[in-house]
Amino acid sequence: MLSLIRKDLILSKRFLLIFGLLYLGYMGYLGSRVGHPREIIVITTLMCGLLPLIQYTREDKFKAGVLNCSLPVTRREIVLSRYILSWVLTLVLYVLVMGVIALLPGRKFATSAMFSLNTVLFALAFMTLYLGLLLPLILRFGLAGMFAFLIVLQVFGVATLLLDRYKVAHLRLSSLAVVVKKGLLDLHASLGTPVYDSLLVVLMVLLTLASFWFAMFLYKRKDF
Amino acid sequence: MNNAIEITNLKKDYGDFSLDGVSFSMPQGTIMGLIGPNGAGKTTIIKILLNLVRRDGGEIRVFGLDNLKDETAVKSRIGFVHDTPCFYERLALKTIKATVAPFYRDWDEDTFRRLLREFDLPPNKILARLSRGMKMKFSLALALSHRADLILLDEPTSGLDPVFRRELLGRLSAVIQDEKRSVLFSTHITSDLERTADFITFLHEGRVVFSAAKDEILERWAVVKGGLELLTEDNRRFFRGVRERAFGFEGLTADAAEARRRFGPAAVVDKASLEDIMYYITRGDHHA
Repeated sequence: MLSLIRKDLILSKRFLLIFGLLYLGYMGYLGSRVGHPREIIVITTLMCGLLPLIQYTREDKFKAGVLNCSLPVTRREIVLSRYILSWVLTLVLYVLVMGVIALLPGRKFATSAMFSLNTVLFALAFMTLYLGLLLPLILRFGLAGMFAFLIVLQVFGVATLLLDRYKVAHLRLSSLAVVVKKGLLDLHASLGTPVYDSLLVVLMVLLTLASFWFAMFLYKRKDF
Repeated sequence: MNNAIEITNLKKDYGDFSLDGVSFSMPQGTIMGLIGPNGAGKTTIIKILLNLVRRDGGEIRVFGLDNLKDETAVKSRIGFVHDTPCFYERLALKTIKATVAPFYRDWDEDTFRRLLREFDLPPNKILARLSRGMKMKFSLALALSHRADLILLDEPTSGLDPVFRRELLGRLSAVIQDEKRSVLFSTHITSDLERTADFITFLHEGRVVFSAAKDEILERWAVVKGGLELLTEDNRRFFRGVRERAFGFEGLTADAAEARRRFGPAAVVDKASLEDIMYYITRGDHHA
């Protein structure tokens, strides 16, 4: 397992260093332009998660998947190593970006807002969804998988907005969002913060596990 | 003699091509050539053996171990040389080595360095700047440095010049000197195998035509050349493939002794080369 992680890090160290530094600079600048911590959390998580994912699409480019699968490892170990490395890289980059934003002047929100438990949980939940949905597709279909996912998401988004705008099927996004938010707030109030947050963490773990099993299901069926 | 590889009733269906009940075994300490025209299923078999491609049926045992249930143990004893090296192109050879070596408990750094010297491969050189032949040599150096018991080579000589090819083949012969290592070598360049292989497995359209010792094959198979008057219906059925010309015919048979008895001095009976066998079976009129 460690050999697999080490291998991926060696193969992508230059890519990770160059783009990691670019991300830090760009996100640091963006931190001084955005007015709300939640917006910067969403953008940062998206950007930080993208880096390890793009790293795996490079395998397609060099057709190096054959090498991976001919080494004395199982496909389960390959998928597991990639989940671990993706999470570690995303989290490390996220912490570094938050550190840079906190240190740079011109920020429009308090540092405490960036590191509160709510914000951290929000970032983790977003990472869980993002990595959980994209990793299985990227491991199985490479860059094409990532693009397909993003295109489907775009189409879905545009379709939803159109349905909302023209009031087709009596769909009101704003009222749907209100209902969801109210439901979550009620649940929070009835369970209390510790139980609610623990439940959220458990849900994130379960989602990641489900994503891992799905990724394994897909990757085991990949022919090279 | 123990078998390095035992393949039983292997099946894989791609729709337009299928492996249809492929079975053969390869004794330990030998070189086996897997021959056949392009698209015969050679690469598919090697890939299934390494679990790079899923199979639809059958069983593969490597040194007595199931290649799927004991995947890690099996792969740690295999050195694989792919027809197109599949490494990150922009990395130095020593960096690629650093990513591969930790996976093998028996990695021998001294052997790796010695092979790089013998193959004139500078460790700091970027892979993308190597010729195809040099890349093949590097793949071979990696495969040999973890003391693999079984070396799998998928079309290693295609696209190489004759000097490189002969050097590579000489290296392969040296590899099995200890009679423990085994080599499975897929190629459509049959002359490579006439120099080095002990056993030949011939594939055509996803089926095994024959799998036997090379000397036995070259002894048994023959090309008969004679006048068209000899090509009766009965004689035509005797051949596995026939090519007719304006003034005579050439036919391939799997029974050279019977051909000599049957035609006597009226026809010339020559030993068939592997290329002859491949040509007549894939292109000639087929009479089983």
